[in-house]
Amino acid sequence: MARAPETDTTSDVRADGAAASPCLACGAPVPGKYCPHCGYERARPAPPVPPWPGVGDGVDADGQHIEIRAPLFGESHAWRYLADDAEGHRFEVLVVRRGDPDGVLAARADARAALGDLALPPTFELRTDDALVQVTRLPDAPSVAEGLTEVLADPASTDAVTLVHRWALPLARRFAALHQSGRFLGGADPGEVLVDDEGRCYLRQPQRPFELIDGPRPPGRRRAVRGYAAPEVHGRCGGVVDARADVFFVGAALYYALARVAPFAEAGGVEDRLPAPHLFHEDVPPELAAVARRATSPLPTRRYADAGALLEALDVALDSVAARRAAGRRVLSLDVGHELHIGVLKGQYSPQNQDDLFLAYHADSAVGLFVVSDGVSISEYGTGDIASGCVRDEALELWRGIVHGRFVDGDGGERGDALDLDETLDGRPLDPSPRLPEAEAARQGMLRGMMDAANARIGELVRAEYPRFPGPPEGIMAATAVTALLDANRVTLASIGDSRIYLLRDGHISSLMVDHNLATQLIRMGRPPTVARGVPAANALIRCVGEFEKDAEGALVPVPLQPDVRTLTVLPGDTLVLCSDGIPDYAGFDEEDAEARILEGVRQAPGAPWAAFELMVLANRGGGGDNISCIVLRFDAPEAD
Amino acid sequence: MGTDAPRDAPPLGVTWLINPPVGSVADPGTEVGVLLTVRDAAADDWPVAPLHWAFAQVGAVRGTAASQQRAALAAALDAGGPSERARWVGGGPPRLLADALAAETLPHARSLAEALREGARALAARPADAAARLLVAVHGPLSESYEDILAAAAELDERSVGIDVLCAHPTADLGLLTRLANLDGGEVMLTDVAEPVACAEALERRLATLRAQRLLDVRLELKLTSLFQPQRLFRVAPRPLFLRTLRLGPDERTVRLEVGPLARDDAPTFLLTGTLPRRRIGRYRLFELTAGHRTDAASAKVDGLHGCTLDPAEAATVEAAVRAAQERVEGVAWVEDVARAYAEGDARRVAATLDRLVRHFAVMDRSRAVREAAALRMRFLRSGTLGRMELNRLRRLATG
Repeated sequence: MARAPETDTTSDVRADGAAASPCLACGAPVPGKYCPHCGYERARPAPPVPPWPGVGDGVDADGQHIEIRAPLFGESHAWRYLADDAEGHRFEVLVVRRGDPDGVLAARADARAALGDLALPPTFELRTDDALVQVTRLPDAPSVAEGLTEVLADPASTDAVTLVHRWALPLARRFAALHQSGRFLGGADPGEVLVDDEGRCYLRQPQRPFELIDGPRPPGRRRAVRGYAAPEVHGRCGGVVDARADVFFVGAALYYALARVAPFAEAGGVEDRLPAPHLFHEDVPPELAAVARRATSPLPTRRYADAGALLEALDVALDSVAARRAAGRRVLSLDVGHELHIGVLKGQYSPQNQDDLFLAYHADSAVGLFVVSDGVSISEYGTGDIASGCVRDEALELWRGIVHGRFVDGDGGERGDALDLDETLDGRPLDPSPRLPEAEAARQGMLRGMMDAANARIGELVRAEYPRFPGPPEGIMAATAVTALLDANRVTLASIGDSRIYLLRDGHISSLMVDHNLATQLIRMGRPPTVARGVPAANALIRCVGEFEKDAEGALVPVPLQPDVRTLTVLPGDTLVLCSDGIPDYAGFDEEDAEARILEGVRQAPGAPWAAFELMVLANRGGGGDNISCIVLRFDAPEAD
Repeated sequence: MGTDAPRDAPPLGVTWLINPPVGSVADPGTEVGVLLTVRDAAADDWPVAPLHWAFAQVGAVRGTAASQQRAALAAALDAGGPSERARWVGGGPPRLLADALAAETLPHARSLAEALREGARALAARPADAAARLLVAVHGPLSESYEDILAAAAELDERSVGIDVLCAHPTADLGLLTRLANLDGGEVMLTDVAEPVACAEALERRLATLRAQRLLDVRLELKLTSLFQPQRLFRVAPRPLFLRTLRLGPDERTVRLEVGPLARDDAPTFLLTGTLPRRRIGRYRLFELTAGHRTDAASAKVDGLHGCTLDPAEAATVEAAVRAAQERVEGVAWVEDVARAYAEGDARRVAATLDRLVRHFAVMDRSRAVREAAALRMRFLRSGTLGRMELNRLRRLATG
């Protein structure tokens, strides 16, 4: 039972003059109420155990026995229990001391009146000699916490969009209605919010809402449930709550429905936002991830203004997900822009640009290949610019293969191996029209093959100078690579390292790939994000183009790379940005700010080339401490539409 | 909160909040914040103490700034009551402020130590119930030794004369000035001599508080149990200020805190941070707090109690006001971290802490401060230098 801190001025000297007994915590003699050494209270209150205070093992009414099952988090001078009857109906039992010294019943009635159908009316009341018992029948609906915890047993078996419809959407609707009525809760406890199959929400523990017209309010003392309470509920961000604290709560439910992970304690902090949900499950639609991340931003000003705005964004995102899933092959109009810059600050101490780009697009066939590569600065054998150049050269080779149909046979089927140009023996010129295999696995294989070839090329370049000595290979030049293989409205994406691919749509930005660095790896392994981001060399790459092992004789052998790959169906209005980390690292003072600026920069640009230029300027304005490269692909409906 | 006022001492009220209000056995070592608020519990019954104050200038002020400062002092003099005494010290024998202002030029002290010593002498003779305050305007960087200044300040402290520092120049050594002012709960007003209006406003505001003081030399004494490992002490209100890092010896369990004078409606608030180790379930007394006056016995005494539980639901309770206060003073602490890192030549730490500071301003939704701190960080990254003027600018942003 929670109790408010009390002032206790009781003297340390025992009135009965009894001999000092040893402290239970530290063993020092305790002459009075508190240990003079560690402060431990001599007569500590016992936690409630069965028979439960006020009700024993249950409540009897009208010949029906309601049995207490577990205590719930309660209030001063009141106890709450979860109970059920023989038919399996669930109840909340509230036991209030006689006279209701804390006004719990009045406060509940007051909260119920303000909450309307969000609160549950009491079913019946009983009076005992020293207490009043209020019993409320609960609907057949699990709480948000129960529902999302259940998913964790087998997260991969549940579709993220289904979970969003089941848990996040009803909450967004209910809170939007609450805000519409001019009230807000300032956050809620997911264990106390029940959602039934029809999408109706109930608050098991009525909580008096604040009036929006009164403005932000100090939250005072309250429960801040891990992973669901906004930073301002903890007293951060100025220490006042408003409707945005509710947005955070709904956003957290949306986030956990997408990520299917246990709640993060970090959600109450302001240092970093929650990790991208697709880090845990690849099937997370980027639009929904963007909505979840904006709603759970640590800074209230970056969140949606209220649940109505969140609901609107969620509806648009769900429509977009449905449209993406239903879309067939369709050629879209494409606008391409790119920039490559050394970075104003980086250029002062490192004259070589280690980023590289490759772009190719055949408008008639709507096939294109776009690659951004960022060379790693520190290496003993070779340099970053050579490594990223290897990626570019192999991208060129891949494009040549695509143009000459090396990856498809005469019927448009897939080829197991790339055809050599010499195999065209009838003397006719090669068909210059780019063609891609139909199967997605084959397309992904092409991108993997390109990265492996770049890896092998790096190995060839350093093999001669690399000494043969025992131990793991170190100090070899390396590069990141992000690639987009476009075929009409279908894009096959591959990434290795920490360069980015962003999808910008409907005023939201979402990173599509995962950074292959130590911090991300640790988060995936279950370490708390703040811990993972704080370890030494948290940004060190764990995967890149430039991975080798040694054979028995100490010679370098390229290892097959493991890029992340995914397929995206693009819609008119989508913009893809492929860029090195020089842009998100410098465009804003944190990642979230940088993404907001990227979004704004691209949105305001009249075309993709201007957008790319704006991104380069943004990164340089923010310091330009790293090389900058980006490709902007803006998709629109063809003019005929 | 309990208040137990001795018969002849002005009554004080002290309230405290701890965050988290209930600790968890599962999370030892998490930071605990104790927010202490001191109030004048006498309401209108207690008389206002007569004020004796002196003003000193260290370094000359010329031109428009000088004339505007003179006007500000004249206005301050006019606003004083009949029991108030104001003097000008430094640059010659002490004289009444009114006489000094009548002269063509205002003499200034050659050094801060000289100003402090003169001030101590000038304010030595005063009624027992009067409050004494020396206001020093520092107009430039200090060139004298810290030892001299601190010795002179100790003399003032012995005579129960508080120090306030006004109109600090952008290049002033704020670390030292803050230390001086903190001897007796004083203020350092970060206004530039180039902004005489702001200087006059600060002077007027501070004198208004000093003239309304009922309780003099209020002091808090916290007797900590061995469980509580204190870390840092801040003043949260009226203006955020990092007071000191607490490094207590193994047998030293008492923290003393000078609150200074307390006026009606004043509620100075302090924040003590610390950690608690793994411990048994139950309730603990973390500290015993006594509020009183230097010369009198305690007039308020409270126990700071804190629970420890295994129940995660109970341990999830937060006291938002404490966390909000912590956040308010965090920026001030980080500026001092920047200054320390720069003095130690640790550029990486300077850059990282400046990053945190920018983030802090963003969290507090202070866009102008974000822009200024980000620009300052950029300048540091490019030049590798951070002047005292820039550090003081950061301090002003953090306390703003």
